[in-house]
Amino acid sequence: MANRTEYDAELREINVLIHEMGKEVKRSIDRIIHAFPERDAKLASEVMERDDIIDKMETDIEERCINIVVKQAPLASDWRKIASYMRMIGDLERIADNSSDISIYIIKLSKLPEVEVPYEFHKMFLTMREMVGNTIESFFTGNIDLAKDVSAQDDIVDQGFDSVVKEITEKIKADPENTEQYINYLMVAKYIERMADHSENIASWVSFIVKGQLQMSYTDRYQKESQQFQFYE
Amino acid sequence: MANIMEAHNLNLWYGEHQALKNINLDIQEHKITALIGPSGCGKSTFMKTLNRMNDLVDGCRIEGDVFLNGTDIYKDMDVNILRKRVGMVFQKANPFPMSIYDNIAYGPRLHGIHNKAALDEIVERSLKQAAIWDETKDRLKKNALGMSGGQQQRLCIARAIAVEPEVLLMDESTSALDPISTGKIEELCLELKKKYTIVMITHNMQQANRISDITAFFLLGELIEVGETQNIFLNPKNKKTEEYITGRFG
Repeated sequence: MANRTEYDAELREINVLIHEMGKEVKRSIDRIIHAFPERDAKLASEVMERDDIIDKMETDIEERCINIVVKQAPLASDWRKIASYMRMIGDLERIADNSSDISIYIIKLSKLPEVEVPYEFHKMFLTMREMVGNTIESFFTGNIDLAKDVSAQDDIVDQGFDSVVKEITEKIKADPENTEQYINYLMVAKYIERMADHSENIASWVSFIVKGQLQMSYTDRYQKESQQFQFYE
Repeated sequence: MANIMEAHNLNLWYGEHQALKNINLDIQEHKITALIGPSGCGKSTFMKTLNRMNDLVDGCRIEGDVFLNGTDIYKDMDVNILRKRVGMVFQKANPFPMSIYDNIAYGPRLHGIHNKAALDEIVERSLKQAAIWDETKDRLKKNALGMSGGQQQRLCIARAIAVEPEVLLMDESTSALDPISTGKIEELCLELKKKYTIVMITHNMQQANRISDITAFFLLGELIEVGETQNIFLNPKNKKTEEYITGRFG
């Protein structure tokens, strides 16, 4: 089809920019995964510094999406793409923010006496990293099977979080002098869990682009999160 | 929701050329149905079959059935009765070269209403329903041709509803109007559908998306896809529909 070449080019450019943003977000995740076990404050600081780059990428893509809405009045699959892009970049940006949040705690931990780290962190980090990688891959290739896996992976991260909470609770009881470190680790676990949730959001937007149906309603998600919350009461 | 009109296995030829191919389409009561498709796709031809406007076209041959509230309009209905029950507003406003009042009273007079008080009531009610009463109430005896394009089109809508049709056909009725007049007519359609059923043809995808409940996409004389407007414009099932509404139709 020869029509709308400029429009198609604009859509392709946005697609490429989101892919670039996704790669930058993955790099920040890789950096915190390396910085975390070593409590590497220098590498953690780099993650925080590079967060501005990701923020600018989000703003640039958002502006392009708004321009395309105003200029081209997209419909059908074009509209699904633009609407999803605008939500996805928000989730990607939040994942990057969470990387920065974790970096803050890595820097704090680097200044405190070392304590034993719950083993589940390893699995949580790697699963979350794989989720983000899969969602970005599924977005770029349109392979929604990858996006489907993300929901099951989110359950693994949630279970890891439960396990970390229990383990840290016991450690605080047994070793109250180092409560500050344990609370910092608890915060890190919560941010990993949130990053996995954002990744699941992106997967549902990829599915919306391809299939035209939202995978999980906000009501369902709210109920799911409420049930998780009740678990800790 | 009940169907006020139904087309069953409708085929139409202009001479040798088949303009409609086995169309099956229900028109739901108190809904706005938008007919969309590229020029020459058969949407205007289909619309004209709903009030037998094609009867006047030389060489036109129709097979199949069109029902209005269960009555076959080609076999069991007088064409004048049909056109009272299924009114039409065209692309270009076409007021008669007479006063605003007489334009509205024309149809009711044709159908035997001559009482001045009754006609006054119909004129006022129709102009109010067409959202043009405030602009015309002090100039009812003025010639309608002195009105603006948007006013003339709303006058034509008022004229069409003066005979209280059940269905109102609107063939690109806002395509020649500025955005403000278009907005007024769109608002009017949303109000009118409470009392009437509207079938509209539009080339403006945003308009179809904004105001219609059901959208039907025609191509080369075939009905390609029909469904709730939200679904058609968010997630059309047919690739041709997708290409047309996203502007990639070659």
